[in-house]
Amino acid sequence: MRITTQMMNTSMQANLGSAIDRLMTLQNQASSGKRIQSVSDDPIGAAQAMGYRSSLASIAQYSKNVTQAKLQLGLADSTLSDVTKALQEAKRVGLQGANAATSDDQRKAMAVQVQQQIDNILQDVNATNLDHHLYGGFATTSDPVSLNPAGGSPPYVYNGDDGVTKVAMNDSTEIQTSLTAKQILNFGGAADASSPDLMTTLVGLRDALNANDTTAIQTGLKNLEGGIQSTITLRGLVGARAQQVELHATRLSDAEATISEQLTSVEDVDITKVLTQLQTEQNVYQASLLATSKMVQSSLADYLK
Amino acid sequence: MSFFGLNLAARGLAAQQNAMNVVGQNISNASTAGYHRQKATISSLSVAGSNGQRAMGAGSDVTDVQRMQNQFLDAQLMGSGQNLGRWSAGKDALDQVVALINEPSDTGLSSDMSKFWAGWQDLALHPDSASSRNNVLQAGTTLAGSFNRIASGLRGVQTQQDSAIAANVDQVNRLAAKLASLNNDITQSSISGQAPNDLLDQRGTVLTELSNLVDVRVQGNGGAGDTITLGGRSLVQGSQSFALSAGQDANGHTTVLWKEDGSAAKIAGGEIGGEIDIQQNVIPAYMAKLDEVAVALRDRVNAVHSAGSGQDGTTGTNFFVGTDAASLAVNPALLADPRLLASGATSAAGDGTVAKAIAAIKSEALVSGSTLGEAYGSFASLAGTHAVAMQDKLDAESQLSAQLTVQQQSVSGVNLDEEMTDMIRFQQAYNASARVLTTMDEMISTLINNYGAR
Repeated sequence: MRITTQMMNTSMQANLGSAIDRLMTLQNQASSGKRIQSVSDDPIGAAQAMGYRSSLASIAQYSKNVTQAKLQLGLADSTLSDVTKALQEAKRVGLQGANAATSDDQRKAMAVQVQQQIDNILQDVNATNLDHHLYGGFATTSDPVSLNPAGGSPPYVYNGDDGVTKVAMNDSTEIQTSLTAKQILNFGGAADASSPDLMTTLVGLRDALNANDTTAIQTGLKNLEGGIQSTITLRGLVGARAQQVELHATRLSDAEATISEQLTSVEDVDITKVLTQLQTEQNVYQASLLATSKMVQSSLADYLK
Repeated sequence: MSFFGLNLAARGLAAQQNAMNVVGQNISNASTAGYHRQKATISSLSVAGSNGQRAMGAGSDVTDVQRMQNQFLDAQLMGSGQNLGRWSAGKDALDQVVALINEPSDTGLSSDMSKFWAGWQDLALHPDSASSRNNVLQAGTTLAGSFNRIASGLRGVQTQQDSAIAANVDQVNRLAAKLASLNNDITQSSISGQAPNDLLDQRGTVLTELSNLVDVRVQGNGGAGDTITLGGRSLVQGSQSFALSAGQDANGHTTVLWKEDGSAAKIAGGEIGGEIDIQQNVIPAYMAKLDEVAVALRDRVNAVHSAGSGQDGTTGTNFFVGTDAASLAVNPALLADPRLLASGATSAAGDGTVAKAIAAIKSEALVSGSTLGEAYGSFASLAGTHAVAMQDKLDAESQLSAQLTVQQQSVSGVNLDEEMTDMIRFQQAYNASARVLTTMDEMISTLINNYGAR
C-alpha cells in the first residue's frame, strides 16, 4: 500500500486520541471509585443500581420506623409495668383493709394510699412523649383519661378513640405499636358491675375503705385481681410485639448489608483491576507518544542538499 | 544545421518546469483536505519527416495533469460521512439526555422519589408533627421539581435540534449554491481545455461537507454534469441549485421544506437526519414515558390523599396538580396551609393511616406492571441503552470511515518522499535539458563564428 504523509498523521492522531480517551475513562473510574457514572456507562447495571439505591432508602426509613416502634412499645411496656405495680399496691392495701382487725382510722389512711395509686395510674396513662399523648388512640392532643365532667358514675371517663397505629416494618408487614388507656384500664367494657373499668374499681375500693364496708372491699379486691391479670396479659402482648420488631430490625440490617454489597458489586470498580489497566494504558500512551515523536522527525528532505 | 535543436531543448526545459510545478502543487497541498494528488504526464513529441526524411524527435511536453482519484472510494467516503453526521448529531443529543437524567446518584429523581415515600412514612409515625408535615410538602415539591427539570431539559434538547436544523438548512443552501457555481466553473474550464483538477477538489470538499449534513445521492460519473439529489429530488443540477427552507409543524418544531413549492423534503441521513430523528421520534418517546410516570404518581397519590382528611377536617384535597411531567406541582393550597395535608382518614391528630397508605404506593405496580420507581428506572435505562447504541454506531462508522480514508489517501494522498524524488528527477532532467541547450548553442556558435566570418 502507498503510504502518504497525511495518512501517517491521521493515524497517529487517532491512536493518540483513543489512547488518551481510554486513559481518561480509567482515571475517572479510579478516582471516583465508580464504574457507572451515568446510565450510558452500563444501562442495565445502572437500572439495577437505581433499584438497589431505592431499596437502601426504604431500608433506612424502615429502620427509623423500627426505632419509633421500639420506643413506643418500650414506653407501653414501662407504663403497663407501672400500672401493674400500682394495682398490686392497691391490692396489698385493700387486703389489709379487708382484715377485720384493721381499725377505722387505719382504713382511712389506707384510702389515702389507694387515692395515691389512682393518681399514679392517671399520670401513667396520661403520659406524653413530645407533647403527644400516648394512650388516647388518634386523639393525641388531650388527656385520654379524666374525671367525668358530668360527675357521678363512672367517676373517670376515656376521652380518646379506638385509633390503631401500625408501623410498617417492610413493604408487606405492619406491627401495631399503639395501646390505649381504654385497653389498659378496661374502659367501655361490659356496663354491668361484674366488670367495671379499673378506675371505677379503685374509686370503689377507696370509698369502701373510707366507709368501712368490708363487703365492698372484697368485691373491689376481686375486680382488682381481674384487672391485674389483664394488664399482665396486655404486657405480654406488647412484649411479643417488641420481639417481632427486634426480629425485623435484624432482618433490616442483614438486608442492608446484602444490598449494599450488591450495589457495590454493580456500581463500584474493582480497584485492583482498574489500577492495573490504568498502568497498562499509561504505558501504551507513553509508547504512542514516543512513536509519534520518532515518526515525524525525518523525511527525505533532511538528506537532500 | 538548423535551430531545430534549440527549440527541442527549450521544450524539454518547459516540460520539466511544468512537471516541477505539479510537484510544487502537490507539496504545498500535502495537508489540504480533499486534495487529490496530481501527476504530470510527459509525452515525447516528434515531427513527421517530409520529403522522405525520417521522423524526428521534437522534444517533450506535459500533455496531461492527471488527478489521482478512485471514484468508488470517494463515493463510499461520502456515504460514510452521512452516517457519521447522523450518529454524531444523535449522540450529542443523547449525551445531554443522559446527563439530564443524572442517575445513578444521590441527587437524581429516583432518590427524590425515595425521599418522598420516606417523608410519608415519617408522617405516618408522627402525624401531629408540623415538621413531618412540612417535610412531606418539601419532598413533594422537590420530586415535582425534578420531573419539571427533566421534562424541560428534554424540551430544551428538542428546541436545540430545531435551531440546529434551521442553521444546517442555511448551510445546505450555501453549499448547494457553491456546488452549482463550481459546476459552472468546471464546465467553462473544461471547454477552454484546461484540466480543472483543483476545481474538482473544491467540488469534492463541498460535496463531502454537504454529505455530512444531508443524505444526498450523486447520479452521474463524477463530473460537473452530475445530478445531486435529496430524497429523490434534484438539489443541484449542473449550474442550477434548488434551495431548502425551514418551516414549522403543528407543534412548533422545525421542519425542512423545498423552497420552490413548500413541500416537505425527505431527509433520512446526515446531521439534519439525525437531528430530525431526535426531535421527532426519540425525545417525544422519552417525554411520553416520563409523563406516564408523572401522571401515574399524581393520580394514585391524589386518589389516596383526597380520600383522607386534613387536620381541619377538609377532605377531597388533591396532593399534586398539573397535567404532565413538565407541570407537575404540589397543590398550592397545601403549601399555603399544611394542615390541609391529609395524614389520616379522620381529622384526629394521631391518625397517620392515609400517610402510611401513600407511603405504600411505593411498592404498588402502577405503570404496566412496574412500580413508579421501576418505571422511572426503565426510562433512564432506555435512554442509556440508546446512548450506548448510538455511541456504538458512531464508533463503528468512525472506524469504517478511517479505513476508507486510509484507502482513499493511499490513492489520492501526497507522499512527501515521493515528491522529493520526483523533484530531483525533474531538476536533473531540467539541468540536462539546459546542458543540451548550451551545447546546441555552442555548436551553432562554432558554425557562425569560426566559419561565417570568412
